[in-house]
Amino acid sequence: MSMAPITEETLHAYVDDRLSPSERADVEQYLVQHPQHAERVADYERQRRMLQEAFGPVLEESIPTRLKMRPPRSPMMAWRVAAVITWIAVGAILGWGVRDRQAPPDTSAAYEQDLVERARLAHVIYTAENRRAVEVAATHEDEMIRWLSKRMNAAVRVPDLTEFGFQAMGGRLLPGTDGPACQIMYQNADGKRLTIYLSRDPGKVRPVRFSDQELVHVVFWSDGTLAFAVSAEIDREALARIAATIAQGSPG
Amino acid sequence: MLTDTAIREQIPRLRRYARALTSNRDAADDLVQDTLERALSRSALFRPGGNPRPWLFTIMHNVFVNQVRSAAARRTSQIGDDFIEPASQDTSQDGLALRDLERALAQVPGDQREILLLIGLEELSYAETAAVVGIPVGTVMSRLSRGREKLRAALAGATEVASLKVIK
Repeated sequence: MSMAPITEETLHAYVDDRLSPSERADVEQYLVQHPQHAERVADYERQRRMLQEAFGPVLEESIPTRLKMRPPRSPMMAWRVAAVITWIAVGAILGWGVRDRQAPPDTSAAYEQDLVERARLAHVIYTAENRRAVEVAATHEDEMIRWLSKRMNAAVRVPDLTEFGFQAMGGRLLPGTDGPACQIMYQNADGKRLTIYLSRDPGKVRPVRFSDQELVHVVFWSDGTLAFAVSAEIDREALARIAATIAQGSPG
Repeated sequence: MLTDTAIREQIPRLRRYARALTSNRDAADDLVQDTLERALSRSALFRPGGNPRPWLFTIMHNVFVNQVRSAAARRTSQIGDDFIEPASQDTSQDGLALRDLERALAQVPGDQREILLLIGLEELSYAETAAVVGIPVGTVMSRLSRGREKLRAALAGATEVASLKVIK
C-alpha cells in the first residue's frame, strides 16, 4: 500500500474535484472506513450544489443598465492626467526660469522653500525607520484619516497609489511652520518609500513645482486648503505621474 | 491592455459572485459597478495574455474589503452581520431555501465566505484564489475548511429551527 496520508486538505480537494482518479479512489476508500468524515464530506458536496443552484440563475439575468459599461469615464481621466502632467511640466520650466534669474526671495518663496525643506527632512528621517516609520498604521485607515483630519483641521485623504505599486503604510503628525503638519508614508514591493507631507496653507493655490536634489526629489503644490509635498527617490517622470494622481483628488 | 469586451464578458460572473457575497441585489450591483469602474481605469495595467477573470476578482476583493471596512467603521459592527440583509421576499419553497442559504452564508465571516465562494461557486483554483485574496495557499485551505464547517453548522441550525416550527 502506497497510499498518501489523507489530510483535511485532501478531503476539500476531493469535494472540489481537484484530485487525480487514483487519489479519488484512495479518498473514497478512506471515507468508507471513516463514516464521520464521510458525512462531513457529503455535507460539503451538498453545500457546493446548493450554492450553484441558488446563485447560478444570476448568470442568466439581464444586466442592469447601470452596469452596461460607459466608456467616457476613462478617456476623461486620461485627459485629466495628461492635463496635470502638462501643468507640472510648465510649472517645472517656469520654476527653472525663476531659479536662473535668481528671483529675490519673497514671503511666498520663503514659505515654499521652508515647506520643501521640512518635507524632505521628514522624508529622510522617517523613511529610514523600520519599526517606527509611522505613528498610526494604514491598517486602521479610517481611524488614521479621522485623527489627522481633526488635528489638521482639514480633510486629509490617503490617496490610493496601488497602481504605481505603492501601498500606504500609515501616517504621523509633525510640527509644521504654522500649526501641525502630517506625513503619510507609502512603500512599494522593493521597499522603496514615498511620503506625502501635508501642511495647512489656507487661501493659497500654488502651482505644481519640483525641487530636485541629488537623491530625494520633491514635488509640491497647494490646493487652497493644504500644501502638498511629495518626496521620493524615484525618477522625475514617475513622481510627476504620482503627483498628478494625488492632485486629481484635491478639491482645488 | 484589456479590451472593454473582455471585461464585459465577465459581468455575469462578477454579479453572481457579488450576489452570493453580499446577499443583497443592490449592494451586489454596487460592488460590481465599483469594480468595473476601477478595472476600466486600470485596464492599461493588465498583463497581456493574462486571464481577466482572476484579475477582476482581485479588484472586486479589494473593493469589497474597503466597503466592509468603511461599513464597519460607520456602524462599528462585525463584518457580515448587518452588511448582509437578505433581500428576497420570495416565499416559495425555492425562495425560502435561498433565504436560508443566504442567512447561513451571512454567519460565515467575510474572509472565509470569500474563499468559500471563489472556490465553491466560481470554481477558481486554490492557487488563483490565493492570488486574488493575496494570501498563501495554506491560509486559503484553512479558511476554506473553517468556512465550510461554519456554513455546515449554520445550515444545520436553520434546519433545526425550520423543523421546530413545523412541530409547533
